[in-house]
Amino acid sequence: MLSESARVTTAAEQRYRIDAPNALPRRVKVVALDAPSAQLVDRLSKRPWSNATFLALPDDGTATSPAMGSLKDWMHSVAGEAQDLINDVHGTDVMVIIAHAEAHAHPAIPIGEACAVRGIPVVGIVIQDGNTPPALETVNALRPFTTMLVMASSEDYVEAMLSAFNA
Amino acid sequence: MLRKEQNDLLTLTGPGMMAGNLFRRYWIPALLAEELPENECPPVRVKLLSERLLAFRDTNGRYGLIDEFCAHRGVSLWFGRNEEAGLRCPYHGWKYDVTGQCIDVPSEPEESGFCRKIKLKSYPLIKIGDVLWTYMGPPEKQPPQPEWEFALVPSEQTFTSKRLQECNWLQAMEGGIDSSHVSFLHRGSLNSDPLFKGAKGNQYNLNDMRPVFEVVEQPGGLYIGARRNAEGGNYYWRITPWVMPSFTMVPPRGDHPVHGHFWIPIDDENCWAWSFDYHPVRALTASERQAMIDGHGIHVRYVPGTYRPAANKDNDYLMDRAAQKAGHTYSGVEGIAMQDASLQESMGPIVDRAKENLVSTDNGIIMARHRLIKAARALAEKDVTPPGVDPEHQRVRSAAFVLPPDQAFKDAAKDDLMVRPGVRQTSI
Repeated sequence: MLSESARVTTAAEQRYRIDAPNALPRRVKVVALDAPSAQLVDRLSKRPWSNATFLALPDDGTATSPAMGSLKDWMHSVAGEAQDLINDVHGTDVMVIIAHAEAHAHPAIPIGEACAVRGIPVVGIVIQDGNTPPALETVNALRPFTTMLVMASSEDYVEAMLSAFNA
Repeated sequence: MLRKEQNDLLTLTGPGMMAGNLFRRYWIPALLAEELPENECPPVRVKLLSERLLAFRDTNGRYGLIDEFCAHRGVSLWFGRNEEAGLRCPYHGWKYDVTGQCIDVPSEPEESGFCRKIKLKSYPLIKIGDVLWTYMGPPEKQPPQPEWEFALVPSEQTFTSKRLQECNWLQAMEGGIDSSHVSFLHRGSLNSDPLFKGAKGNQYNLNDMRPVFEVVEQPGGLYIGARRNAEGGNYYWRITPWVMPSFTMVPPRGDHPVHGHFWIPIDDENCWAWSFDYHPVRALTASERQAMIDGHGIHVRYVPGTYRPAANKDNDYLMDRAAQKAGHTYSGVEGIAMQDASLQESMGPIVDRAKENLVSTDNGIIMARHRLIKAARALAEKDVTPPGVDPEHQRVRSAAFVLPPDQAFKDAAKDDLMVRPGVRQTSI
């Protein structure tokens, strides 16, 4: 007679796994800190996602879509309406901050600190673009508040990660 | 989560499948050398990448890995007679050499040359260290021989084992990348296992149960860094290298031997978990070697006469709920290897990744899957040699060290993450 463990790990038994959603949709905020990241985030924002919002810092005329907002405006609106950033990140399940190798990552610090207060995990992705190593300043600015820091060699990782999160 | 087509791409490794073709570009462990201990020893059945094969060692010490079945009428050559530089089928006497070439068909006149028309599929089988390695890809693409450090150090410095794991290779391998489970599943073993205990670094593990991770791409795969708080505001880092498709090394503890794994598909629902322990600069002590033989560390005790773990699904992994409740083990299963394997097998033969809810600390796994998919597609579409084939990519080590908070491990510890012959592992 098969043990219970032997019986339940057969391929036939997999049919009986409950086929129903086992989680609420993940609310992911994706923030771009520099112009190349803003272009990437703009492209991503045009694809269908369950529950992802996209924001970018630069206001240098980088293309934005209706689906993507300006990080600067967001932070301004948070301050201008006397809300605080801590309350506004509430309701985010994962914060994703994207920078390219030479980005100035310091604007991410208040966001990271707000997430830390709310216990919201932060994923930092530094995109290296081939063999350009990430600037130490970029990495060091992100490291203190990220639960996961990823040095990716190409931009396509961001979409793969968002898909993996079912964002 | 992965869509079904992505999951199929990575998990199905039979002939013609994309992940199967990816594995075929590498030298992979096929048998322990001890399984073919002498010339003309009995042949051994081998199943790899969903192909049934037979391994044997002929009169002259040459190794062969050939189709298991006689070309005549399909008899298993496991019954074959290993004699006079070939394997003779006992049914009608057809004989094959180590390349699968038929060299005698007794019923046909020799002058007919009939046997020259018969050749079984075969793959090269070479001995490096304690392992017999095979390459199952296109002959013209055969890479240089592997140069993993554990296989190249003197025999007294290394120990290798294999065990059957009754699930798909990928869910097993992902356990090697994901170090966040160590603080939970293996918690009881850090202070009790003779191959783990006593290292200063263990205290950092036990004092900080919430490591933070960094994933860095490297030419052969990834480095996954787990950092915990150390004294003076510094960070204790433990760095796991992953080299494609399925090699990982566990970061070292103290001066214990360093260990790691390969996971090699047998078929889509079973794999071999290869486990090695070695020390770069000294012989393993007698007690260390005996501990490995006794199933401590990442090794296991076996069902006698097999490579199947003694604790397996047929006996509910010898589950001990009292030990679980008392905190001796976290899951109730004894031993690091079976703590992992029992949970990974419980996911089912091939886990359905569409039901996952990954979190930020799963980015090592996410990146590994991403790189595997890219490599499999690049190979299929453009015949690009995958990362990890180049022996240069295999000269990696795991490491454990303390760094100031403003130093990136990949730069500050660059040399520690490479093989340096004659230099001990970087460890705390």
